[in-house]
Amino acid sequence: MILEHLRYALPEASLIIGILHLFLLYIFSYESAKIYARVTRFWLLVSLFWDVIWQDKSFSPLYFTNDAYTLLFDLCIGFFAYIMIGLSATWFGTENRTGCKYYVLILSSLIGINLLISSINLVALLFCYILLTYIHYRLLGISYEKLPSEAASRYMGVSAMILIIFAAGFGYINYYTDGNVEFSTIKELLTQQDQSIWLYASIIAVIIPFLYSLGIAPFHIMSEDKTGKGILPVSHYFALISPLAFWGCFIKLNIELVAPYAQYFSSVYQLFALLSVIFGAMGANARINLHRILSYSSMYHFGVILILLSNFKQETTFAAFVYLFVYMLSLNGSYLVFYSLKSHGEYLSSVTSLSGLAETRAYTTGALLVSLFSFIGLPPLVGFLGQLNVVSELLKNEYYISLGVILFFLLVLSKSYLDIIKTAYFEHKVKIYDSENKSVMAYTLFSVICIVLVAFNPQDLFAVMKDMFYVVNL
Amino acid sequence: MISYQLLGLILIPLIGSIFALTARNDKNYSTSNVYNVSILTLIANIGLILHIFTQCNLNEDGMQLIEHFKWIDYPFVEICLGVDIFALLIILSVNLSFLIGELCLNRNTERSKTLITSELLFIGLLNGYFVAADVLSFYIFFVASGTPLMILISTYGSQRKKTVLIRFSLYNLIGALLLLVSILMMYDSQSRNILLSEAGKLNFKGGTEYFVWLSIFFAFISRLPIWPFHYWISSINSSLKNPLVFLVGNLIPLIGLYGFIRFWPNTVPETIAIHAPIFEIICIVTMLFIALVSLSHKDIRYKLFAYTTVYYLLYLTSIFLPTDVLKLNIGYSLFSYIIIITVLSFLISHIEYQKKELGIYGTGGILCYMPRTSKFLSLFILAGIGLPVTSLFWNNFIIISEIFNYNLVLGIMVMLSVFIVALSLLEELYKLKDKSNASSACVLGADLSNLHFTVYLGCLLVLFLSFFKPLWFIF
Repeated sequence: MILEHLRYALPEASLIIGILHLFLLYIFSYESAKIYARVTRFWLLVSLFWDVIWQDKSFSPLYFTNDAYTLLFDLCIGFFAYIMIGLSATWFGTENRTGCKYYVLILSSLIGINLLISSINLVALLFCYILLTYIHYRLLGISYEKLPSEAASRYMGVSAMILIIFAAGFGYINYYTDGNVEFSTIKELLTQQDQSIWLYASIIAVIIPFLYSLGIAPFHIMSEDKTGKGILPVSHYFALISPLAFWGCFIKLNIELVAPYAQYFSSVYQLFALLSVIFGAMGANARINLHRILSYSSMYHFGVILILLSNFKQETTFAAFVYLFVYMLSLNGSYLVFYSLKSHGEYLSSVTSLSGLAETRAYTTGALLVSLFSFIGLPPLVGFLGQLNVVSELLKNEYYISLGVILFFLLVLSKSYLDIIKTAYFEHKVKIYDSENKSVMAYTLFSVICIVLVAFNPQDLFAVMKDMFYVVNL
Repeated sequence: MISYQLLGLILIPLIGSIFALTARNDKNYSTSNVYNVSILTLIANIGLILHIFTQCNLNEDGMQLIEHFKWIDYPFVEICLGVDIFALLIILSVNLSFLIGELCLNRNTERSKTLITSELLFIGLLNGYFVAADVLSFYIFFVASGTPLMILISTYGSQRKKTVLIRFSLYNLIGALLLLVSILMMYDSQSRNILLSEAGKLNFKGGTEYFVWLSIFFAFISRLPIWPFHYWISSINSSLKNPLVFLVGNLIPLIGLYGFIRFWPNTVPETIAIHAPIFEIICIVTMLFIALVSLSHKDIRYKLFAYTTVYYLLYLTSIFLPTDVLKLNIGYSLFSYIIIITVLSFLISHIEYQKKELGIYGTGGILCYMPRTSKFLSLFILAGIGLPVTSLFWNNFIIISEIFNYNLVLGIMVMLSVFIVALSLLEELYKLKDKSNASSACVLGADLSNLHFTVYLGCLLVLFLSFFKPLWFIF
């Protein structure tokens, strides 16, 4: 029986074997970043394979449950992680580093993410959250100078406070439910019992860590540092993989835990969402670092997702997922372009470093243009599908003020994108760019094709996604 | 059996643009390959358009050859394509004008791949816009057609216009977002995609009705050189030196105009239609203003821009009239008009190019040494301002008569604007032909090549035949 359950842990076990494999390579002094990346990707694929095979099985059904919903997020995360790991090898190769620590941390984080999304119990959720917080702290520690990073220390300090809030919320719920902290039990209890202010507060305490990890205002204190101060592969991780994981878990929590309190949480979510939309759009215009601009841009887009989630309806929640997916696809396109921005072996991240990029790098600039236009939601790019879902759902649910705010601040946000385009096309060239890496070019082309083609025939992809997503019911 | 002809009109240029994009970066081969691909693409598209013409019932009003394509399940969207004779005429003239452009373009242009790829992309999306029969696909192609335009303006526009481009893009984005909200409100009211012909039958009340229709009109106005948007479009257009990009820039207002044509006559509810005089006044004021500015301007390109603007606004004013009988007249007139502005744009580019090559300071009297160019420029300017050799002449006559019939003052103002802009073009033509202004004694070999001569002669023939029978190409 135990062995039978253990085999269901093969997705996580594959990643652990991957970590051991990386250790062995390190012990035998392999110096090439490409080998580390290749090994990491191999074990990621093995893990995804087992994820698909054991998609509805879990090694510990009391704490974790796998279903089509968790598989959907695992596959999305795996897809982006595979690209990210492949490209990070070029970054570490240029910097003459093996990146072993990075790859170990990425595999560890993928274990944490797998478990986080499949958690059905607050104990498991808290454990996974602590694990991920620690891994993120270590990831932020990977800096250019191989010195302890200030951002990492600050992150740990703030995260410790957030963890205390989480633990306090968990403690009260644990006391209230006599130690039975499964989501379904808590939801049942919340539906049946009179809703007390303390229970409400403890549910808020459980939700806050996720809002903090997603960079939702006013909990966005660390979001800029995470993507803006880390090295490019770390920034890439914090921009794509980490938010996808936390959204996956947050949406599930929303459906399985918070739903009975929907009437109270709805307006709170809307407030936070609108704050994110406003701060995100304004912040993006005030920044000159590309990673930071995209960090604020994410804040805006995550605000839009939160507005949709505030409606607590199945269709709107799925629309939020579609928006998240297409946004991540476009964001990935932008990050791929960043791997091409290199001058004299140094990766560039300021807007001014894009000056005159179109003169010598027409394809790269074109790819950036496609991603930025997709962010704005211009048809026929994939971003339009997200925008269509958002506007359609907000109109249907009569969220007119929210819609007005979203659209107005989209214009404000677009100004920052247009500034990037203006710099790339109109300014005079100031940098001599290094020759482009072929694998980066191939990935960029693939990304552009995805951004363009998904919009042409999305119904099959979205039909599959919808079936997988609707496993979790409101 | 499902027909894919209208979809073909969109896909052929898009496939052509992919071919152009993937051409090798070899200066000796790629340039001519890219141009050949685009010429073949346009010829194929024109062939398809003529084939579609033969399948249409010329006496039937409304959309024909309807094609449905399921796009997404949630929200359920089915894309619907269809054409009428009016849309087909515009598609034909746009595709013909780009073919003329391709044949007459100087192949030494910088970044040919970007130019041709964006141009073909633009044509594909513009064709999509003209064949869109439902509100959502109409929106998609309306917004999408702006993307290649921005790439072209960014690549070929002058550097000092960068802030103008950003403002222009933002205005367009405002228009696009408002249009999206209003069409989704239409969608929401029926829980399905709405055909363009059904848009006016939707039962909106009070403020919602005003919001929906004003948003739609704002989106179209953002593409027209009407106050308060006239400055951005004129600044951008007058800075474009490449004739093909100039042509693309000149077709922006056509997008707005076509939007009004599709939404206003017979479609717009009575409560909104009563406000037509406001739009008419704005149009007339802008027409007069631009016509007067063109008179004082020295740049011939600006004069051409002013001419195109005044004529676009003439068509727009006629759309606001309380009649829908003018639609085909506008179509016939637009057919000639688009070809005329294309040829004029390329002739002016040829003169400017020769001026630069020969190191001449001014263009005064330059036509004295370019007899072929001189003849064509004179003929096309005269045709443009009303010489009875094209379908533009008698269709504009009908349109202006209707405006006079509707309101005398409005008619006088329209006539005055048309007169001023004609005067401005004739004045420029006189300067170019006046030998006493010539700054060079002899300009040899600067005239049109045989190929260009043949192409312009062909254009003249097409226009001349359209004078007798607008749809002469259908047997």
